[in-house]
Amino acid sequence: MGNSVSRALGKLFGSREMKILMLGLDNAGKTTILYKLKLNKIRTSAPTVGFNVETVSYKNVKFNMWDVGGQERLRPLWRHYFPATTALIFVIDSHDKERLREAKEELYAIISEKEMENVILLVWANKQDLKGALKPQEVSDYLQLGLNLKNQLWCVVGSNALTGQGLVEGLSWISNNTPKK
Amino acid sequence: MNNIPPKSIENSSTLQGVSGNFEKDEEKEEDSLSDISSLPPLTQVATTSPRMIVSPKMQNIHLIIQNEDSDSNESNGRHEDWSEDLGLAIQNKSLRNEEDVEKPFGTGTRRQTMLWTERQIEGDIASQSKVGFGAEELTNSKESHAKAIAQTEIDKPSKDKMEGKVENADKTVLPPRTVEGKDEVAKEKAERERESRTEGKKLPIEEDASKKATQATLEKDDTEGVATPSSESIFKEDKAAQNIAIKIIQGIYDKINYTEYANFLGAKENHSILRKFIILLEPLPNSLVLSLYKLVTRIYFIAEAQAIDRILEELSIRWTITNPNTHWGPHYNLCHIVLFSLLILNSDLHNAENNQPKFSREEFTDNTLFAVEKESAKMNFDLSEHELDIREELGVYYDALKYMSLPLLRSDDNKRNGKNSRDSGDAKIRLRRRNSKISMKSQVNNGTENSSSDDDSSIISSSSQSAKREPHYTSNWKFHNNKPLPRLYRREPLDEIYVVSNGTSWCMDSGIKINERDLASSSNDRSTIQRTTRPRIPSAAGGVLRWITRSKSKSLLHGNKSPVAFFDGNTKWVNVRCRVYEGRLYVFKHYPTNGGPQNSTQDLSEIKKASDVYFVCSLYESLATLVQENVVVNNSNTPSRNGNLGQRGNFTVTIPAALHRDNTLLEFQTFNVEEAQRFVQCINFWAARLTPVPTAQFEVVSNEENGWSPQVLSSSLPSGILENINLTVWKPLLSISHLYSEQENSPEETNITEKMEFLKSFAEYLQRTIDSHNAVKPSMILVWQRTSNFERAMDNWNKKYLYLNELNERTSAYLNALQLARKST
Repeated sequence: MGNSVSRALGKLFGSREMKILMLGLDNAGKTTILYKLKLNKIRTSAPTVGFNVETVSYKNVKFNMWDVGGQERLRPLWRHYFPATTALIFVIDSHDKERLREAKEELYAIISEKEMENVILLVWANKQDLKGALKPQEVSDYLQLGLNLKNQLWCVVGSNALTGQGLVEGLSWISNNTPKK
Repeated sequence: MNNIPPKSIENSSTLQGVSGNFEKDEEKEEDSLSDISSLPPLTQVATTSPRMIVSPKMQNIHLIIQNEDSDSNESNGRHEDWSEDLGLAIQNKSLRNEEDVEKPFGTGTRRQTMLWTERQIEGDIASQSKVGFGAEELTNSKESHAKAIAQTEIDKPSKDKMEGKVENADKTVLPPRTVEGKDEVAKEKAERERESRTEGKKLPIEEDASKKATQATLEKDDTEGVATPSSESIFKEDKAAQNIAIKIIQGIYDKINYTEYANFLGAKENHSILRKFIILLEPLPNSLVLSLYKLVTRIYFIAEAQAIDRILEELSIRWTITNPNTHWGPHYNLCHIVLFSLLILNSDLHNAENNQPKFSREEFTDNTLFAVEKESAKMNFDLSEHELDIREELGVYYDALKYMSLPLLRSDDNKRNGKNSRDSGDAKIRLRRRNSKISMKSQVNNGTENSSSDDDSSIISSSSQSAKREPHYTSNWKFHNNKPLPRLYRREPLDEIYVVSNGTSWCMDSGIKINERDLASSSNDRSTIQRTTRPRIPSAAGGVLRWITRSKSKSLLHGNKSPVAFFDGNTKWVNVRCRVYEGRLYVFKHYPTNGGPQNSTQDLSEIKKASDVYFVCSLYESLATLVQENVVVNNSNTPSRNGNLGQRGNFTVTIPAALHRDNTLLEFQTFNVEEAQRFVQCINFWAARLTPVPTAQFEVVSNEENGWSPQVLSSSLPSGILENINLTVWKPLLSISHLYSEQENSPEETNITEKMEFLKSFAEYLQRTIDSHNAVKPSMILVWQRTSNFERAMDNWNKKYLYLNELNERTSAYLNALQLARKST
C-alpha cells in the first residue's frame, strides 16, 4: 500500500519538480505527519544511516525534514537544503503555547534567509485535536505573517497528524500555488 | 541538552582551568581535609567554575571522606567508585591522566585519591551541566544552592541523579572493601586489551578482545555489587547505565529492538547511558569522520534527529577531550556541527531515495564552514588562522564519505587507521553475521515490552489496530477474496442491539432494483467477479474494482449528479439484494429471491455464494438522497415499464471520487417510497458515523487572493492595482479522504453524540459561511467589473459557492440521519 500514497502524491504534484522543506520545533509532529502520509514506506531500498525520515522523495517530489528546536548551533546547516526549495512547510504545535514564541523566531530566522525569499510558506497548525489548541486564525495572528511577509504567499492550515486532517489540504494548497509544468 | 546557552563553550575551557587549579592546590589539600567547613581548594575550584551546585556536592564528599578516615586504605576503592559513579569509566581515566590512575591504586595515598576524585567530579559536572554563565559568587548556604538550581538549565535528570546519590552517600556508612584489587586487575586487563586492539590485530581477535574488555568491565561491576551490598542503591543506577551501554554496544540489550538503540541512547533521560556508551567507543580516531564511522559501526544508527543530535554532541565532547591537540582545541560544539554536517552529507550522497542533485564538495565545505564560523563568532573564538586547515579537513571528509558511505551497523572498528577501502569485503560478511545474530535476538524478544521512544509511530499503529477506515473499493476486493473486513466505526452499546435489526437506521437488507447500467458494464469483467476466479492482487484502481469504476464512466453518469434513470422510461432495473451493514453497502445481483425485506442475520458469505455478481463498498463520505424528495411527478405523466412510479421509491447513492476521478452515482429503485426512505436514512446514518467533519478546510488562513479579501473589497484600490493582482484560482483543498481509495486509514473515533454536536456546529458554521459568501458577491462585482480579473474572480466565487452548498447538503443529511436514528431508539 505504501507506494499508492506516493502515487497520490505524484497525482497531486504531477510532473512538477518539487523540493519541500519541512521544519518545525521538535515535538511539533513532523515525524507523525510523514508517517501519516506514509512517506516513510516509499523508501523500500536499503535505509541510510542517520535520520529516520529526514529525506523522502517520490519521483520529482522531495521532502526534507528537520527539527529546528534544540541546538542553535546546528541551524546554519539548514542551508544545505535551501537551494531550489519550492515550498517551506513549518509545523507548529498549536497546543504548546509556551514554545510559540520560539517557533515564531525560528520561522522568521529561516524565512528571512535570502535563498528562501521565493518559496511559498505553508504553516501546519498541528495538534488541532488537543483541547485548547490554537485555531489556525489564532496561530496566524500570533505569527503576524500578514504583517511581515509582504511578497510571499503563505497559508496556515489546521492539522491533526493523527487523523490526517489538514495534511492533504496543505499539500494541495502547495500544489495549487506552484506553477504547473 | 536542548537548550544550551550560547556561551556553553566556556565549559571546556573551564574544565581545563579547573584541572589546573587542582594541580596548584595540591599542597593545600591536607588542610582542606582536616577542616570540612573551610573548604579551601574546593571553593576555589568552584568559584572559578561557573557551577555553583558543585559546592554542596563537594561538601558531601568531604563528609564521606571524613567518615572513612578511620580506614583510609579501604576508602580508596570507594573513591574510585565515586568517580566511577559520577559517570566516568575507568578506561578513560587512564587516557586522561595515567599518573593519576597509577598512584591512587598503586600507593594508596588517600590525598591523591581525593584529588583525583574531585577532579573527576568537577570534570563531570562541568561537562555534564554545560552551563557557561559567568562565575558566580559562591556561598555554601542552601538558599543559594536552591537559587542556583532554579537558575540553571542543567541537564536535569543527571543532576537529580547525582544529587540523590550524594544524599544517599551521606547517610551510608561505607563498609570496607575487600575486592578492589581483583577489581583493579580486571580493569587493567580490560584497558590493556582495549589498547592492544588499537594496534591493528586481526579482526576476529579484536572483536574477541572487545568482548573480553566489556566482559571484564561487567565482572568488575558484579564484584562491586557483591562487595558493597549496603551501598548498592547508590551505585545501582549508574551500574545499570554502564551495563546497558555495554549490552548495547554488544548488540544484546534486549529490552528494546536493536533498531531503537540510537533513539534510546539519544533520549534525554538516558543521558548517563549515552555517556557510558560513547566512552566505550574510545579511543576515538583523531579524524572526525572516522570517529563517526566508528560510532555507526557499533550501533544501528537510524534515529530521530534529536537523538542523533545528542549522541553526536556527546561524541564530540569526548572527541575533543581525547583529541586535545587538534585545531578544534576544546571546542566540542564546533566538532558537533561538523559531525552533524557529515551525517547530512552522507544522507545526501547515499540515500537511494535522493535523486536530486547532490551536494558538491564546495557547497558542503562552504555551508559547514559557515555554520562553524557562526558558532565560533558567538564565543569570540577566532577561527581565521585555521580556516584553511578546516577547509582542507572538510574537503577530505567529503571525499571520504563520497567514496565510502557510512555503513549501517558493522561490528568493525578497524577503520581508525584510515584504511577505509581495505576491508570492505570482510566487513560485509561480518555485518551479515552480526545482523543475523541480532535479528534472532529480536525475534526471541518480540514478546517483551517494547519501550520504544518512538511515540509517534506507536500511536499510529495502535490506532490503526482498533479499526480501519478503508477505501471504498478495497472492501470489494477483500470481500471477494474472503478477507476479513475491518471494522470501520467505533462500536457503541446501541450497535450491539441494532446492528442486524433490519429496517432500522443500523441495518437494511432487502430485495430492490438497481439501474442496470450501474451494473451492466460489469459484464466485461464478469469473469473477474465470478467466485470461481482466483484472487487477484489488489491495486488501487485494478482488480475487481475496475468494473465499478468502468461502469461509472460507461453509465453516462460521471460528473452528472442528477438521477437520470428515474426519468428515463427505458431504464432497465435489475433485481438485487441490497444490504447496508456496519458501514458498508453490499449489492448482490442475481440473488434468487423475491423483493422485500430479507433475513438480515444471514451470513454474508452464504449470500455471496448464491450470487454471481456482487460488489461491496464502504460508505465513507457517501451521500444517499431520496429522489422523491426533490422530484414531484404526476403519476400519469411518467409511464414506465416498471409500472407506476408514484408507488415506487427511488434513491441514489453518491460515492465520492478518489483522487482525480469522478464520483460514482448508483441508482436504486425500491418497492415503495417508504423503503427508499429507510435506505437513505440507513446509508446516511453510517456515512455520518464514518466521515469526519471536514473543518480543516475552513480554518485555513492565507494571504492568497481569491477576489474577496477585505483589503480588496474595502479599500477601493485603483484599477491599475486590481489589474495586477494575481488572483489564485479557488479550489477546495483535497483532504486525506481523497487518498482513501489508495490507503488505509485510522477510523473515525468520535461517538454518535459527539459527532452530532460536531455536525451541528459545523452546519451552523457552514450556514454563516454561505451567508457571508453571498453577502460578498455584490461588492465583488463592483470591484472587479471593469478589470480583466472579473471572470476569474467570479469564477472563484461560483466554485466556492457550489462547494459550500454541496457540503451543506451533506452535513445536514448526516445530521438528520443521526438525529433520526437517535429518536428511533
